[in-house]
Amino acid sequence: MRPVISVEGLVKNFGTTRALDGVNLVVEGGEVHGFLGPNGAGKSTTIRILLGLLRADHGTATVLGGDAWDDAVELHRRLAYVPGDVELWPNLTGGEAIDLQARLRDGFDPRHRDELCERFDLDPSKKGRTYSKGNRQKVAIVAALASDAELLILDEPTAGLDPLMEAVFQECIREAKASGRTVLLSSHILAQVEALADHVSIIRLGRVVEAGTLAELRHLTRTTIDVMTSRPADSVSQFTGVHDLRLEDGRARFDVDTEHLDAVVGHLHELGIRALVSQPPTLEQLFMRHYGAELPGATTQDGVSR
Amino acid sequence: MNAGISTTAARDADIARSGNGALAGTGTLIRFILRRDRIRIPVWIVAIVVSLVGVAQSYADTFPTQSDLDSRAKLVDSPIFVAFNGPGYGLDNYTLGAMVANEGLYLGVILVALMSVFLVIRHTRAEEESGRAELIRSAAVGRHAGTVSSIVVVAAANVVVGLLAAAGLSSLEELDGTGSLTFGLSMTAAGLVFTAAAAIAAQVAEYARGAIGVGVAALGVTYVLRAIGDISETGLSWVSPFAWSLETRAFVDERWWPLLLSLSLAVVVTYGAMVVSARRDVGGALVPPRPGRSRATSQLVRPVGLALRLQRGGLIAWAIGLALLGASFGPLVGDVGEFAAENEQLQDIIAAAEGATVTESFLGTVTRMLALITTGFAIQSALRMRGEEISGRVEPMLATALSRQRWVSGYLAVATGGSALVMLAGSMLLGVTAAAGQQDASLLFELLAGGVAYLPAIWVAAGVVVALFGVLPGVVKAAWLVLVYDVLVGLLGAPLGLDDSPARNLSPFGHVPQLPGVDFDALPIVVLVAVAGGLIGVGVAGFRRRDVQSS
Ligand SMILES: Nc1ncnc2c1ncn2[C@@H]1O[C@H](COP(=O)(O)OP(=O)(O)OP(=O)(O)O)[C@@H](O)[C@H]1O
Ligand SMILES: [Mg+2]
Repeated sequence: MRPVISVEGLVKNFGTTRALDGVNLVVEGGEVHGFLGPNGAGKSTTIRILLGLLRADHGTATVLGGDAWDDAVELHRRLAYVPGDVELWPNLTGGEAIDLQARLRDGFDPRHRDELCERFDLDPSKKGRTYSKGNRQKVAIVAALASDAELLILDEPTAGLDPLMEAVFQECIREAKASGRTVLLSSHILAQVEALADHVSIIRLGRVVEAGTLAELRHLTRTTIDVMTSRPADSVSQFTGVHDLRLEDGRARFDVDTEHLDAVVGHLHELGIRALVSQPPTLEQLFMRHYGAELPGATTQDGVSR
Repeated sequence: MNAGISTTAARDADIARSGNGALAGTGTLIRFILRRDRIRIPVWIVAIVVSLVGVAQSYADTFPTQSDLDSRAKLVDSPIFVAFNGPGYGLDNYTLGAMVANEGLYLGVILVALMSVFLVIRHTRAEEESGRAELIRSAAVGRHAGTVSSIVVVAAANVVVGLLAAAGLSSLEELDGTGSLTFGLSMTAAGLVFTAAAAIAAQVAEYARGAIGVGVAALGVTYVLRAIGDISETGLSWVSPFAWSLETRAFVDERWWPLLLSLSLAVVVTYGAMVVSARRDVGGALVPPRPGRSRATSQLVRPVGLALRLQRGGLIAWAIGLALLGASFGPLVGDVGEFAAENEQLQDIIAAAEGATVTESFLGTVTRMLALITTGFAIQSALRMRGEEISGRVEPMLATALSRQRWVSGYLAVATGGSALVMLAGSMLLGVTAAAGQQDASLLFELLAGGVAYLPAIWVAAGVVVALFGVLPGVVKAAWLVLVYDVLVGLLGAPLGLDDSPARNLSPFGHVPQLPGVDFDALPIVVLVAVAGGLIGVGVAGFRRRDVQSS
């Protein structure tokens, strides 16, 4: 089966700013694909190109088997979009805004819409002007979910939602996945991505720097070890993959690349383990590593702002 | 939703004291406004001063001798001129100065009024609408600081305009310093009234667009009241700042006291605006929001439906405004005719100048004015597309199965169809009232035809907006220049000596037969329709190729 989204070598310049610098992205049918990256990395730009709102300078963007720009109108029947910053018409009600968008897609179901309004605790009879940030966001989410679009493109969809509504949102996405829909989810909420996504792409400075399943990515990161040994653990520093070693009277704390974990723990065993706490790699660490300057090759900033 | 009213008494006390608290941060906001508008305000000022001095200079060139001026004075004394320019003064010995004041002061007043309304709303209601005001009010900024800082800046701009206009006029050989200063400050005084009026409008309406509408309507109402008062000679004119400014009699026998009326009104209205502003919530309006439908009608889901719904209120207001304008000028046709019957010589002068009878020429001029105002509607309405784009509301719409050309077609239908409605509302009421006054039903049909003849020229202006929107979206507001040019050619063309110059051909209005009174010629109409269509085609093609932008 062909992937639902397939992006190759996407380049986009805004004047002298290079927003995208050769983005590659593949989203297979039926998966929830997390799309992560620091502010200004190019997530929204990539998504706008996928929606045919922006035209790429180079590269190809294929969505649901069609070209994102040329076949935009036909494709849009089959996909739904939630922007991160929802603007409503001040004098139209939320319900009208929902219908306006949802009815221009295939498979709009008014009953489903009402049910979603109820689940999200949204009053659709209020004027756009009077909605709070979170409620504006709900309007867009309900509009996207009320049709049975095959593909959901969500750009920070839950910015401003309270934790209760966040839970409802996650439930809805799980249901969408269960019914075979594909989801591209750009988000800064790592817990959300961890809970929902099975695949993740990380974009940085206009390039995808990491892509794979969560398990694969976890493997690339480090476990934190806090250990008390009978004999001094200075020798640990000689092992490859050990970072940030701190030693204080019989206690050692360090991070270790997950691939070298086995060797290091074997050595600790020889030193006589008296107590050991190990923290599994969190997604957060993974992202910190990619977002921050620690990324290998992050020093090559050329081609980003020319 | 009227939580804002609860502590009224306490707040009134606050206002009375108006201590540092309520005004805290005003200085900072003034600097902020000046910084934001460091280009915009100078552009307004220079444009206004240059147009006025340009008009004065061209009068000097067109009417070089005393006999030119004397025959002009006869025209100025006619009801047509009285209706548009107010009662003439200094006609016995018509000088260039008197001519500039009689025929140019209202232009100056209208320009400073528009500047004041647009600038005040931009820094008050538009700020609140965008939510930025909330951010500012949350800082150590007093309740009145926002309103007061905008008023101070705009008032200062009005003073500068007045002084520069005075300096510019007095640089012309024939114009003396006292007269020029009186002229300039008369403009300033009227500008201050409309600055205050805009501050009130910003309180009443919830959206900047509506607030501008209220401000411009105030301008229209005061102009029309004056026209009715001047024609009927009832003294009704004395309720209008237009009259107060003209009554300073610049360049003839200057007097300053009429300006006190303007200043007092400005102060009272400003105080009112501050009282209201302190009573309501930030971002709120006097009219509380009501719940609406929770479902869209099938009408709304069509592109035209949405575009119409968004502009329905404005469209109705424009149509009513033009109908009222038409209805105020129609009845005057009787007076104009009577006057001309008594004065055959005058009739000849006008017929020679305009190629039509006095009443025809009067009605033709009114129709032209209605068409110019309708052009304003058409441009504003078509610009709505850019507003939707910049606000980011278009992105989710275009992310549905709505093609870009269909989306444009909705707004285009409202701009073209709506301008037809607005124009015909004006022509219809002008026609009905004129026909009733003259006992001549055929006048109604002639005036309706006259209005229809202007539609293609109006659509060209909308076409310019669409073309710029598609190809050069960053400068789409430059489309307003079409209206400016139409006004120059359409209303001021004759005195400016533009009538026979090739420059006239650049304005769509230069090609419209001015009915009634001239022979109908279909060719220019057909060409204008084709030009409008071409511009729209270019715009749509451009929009389909370009990126959708959002702020
Ligand atoms: N219309 C535009 N004009 C100029 N530069 C732009 C425009 N849109 C985006 N950019 C730039 O392109 C880069 C990518 O922006 P983009 O909005 O795609 O980032 P993002 O990953 O969505 O960030 P965030 O997490 O903050 O939403 C940024 O440097 C941004 O400043
Ligand atoms: Mg973004």
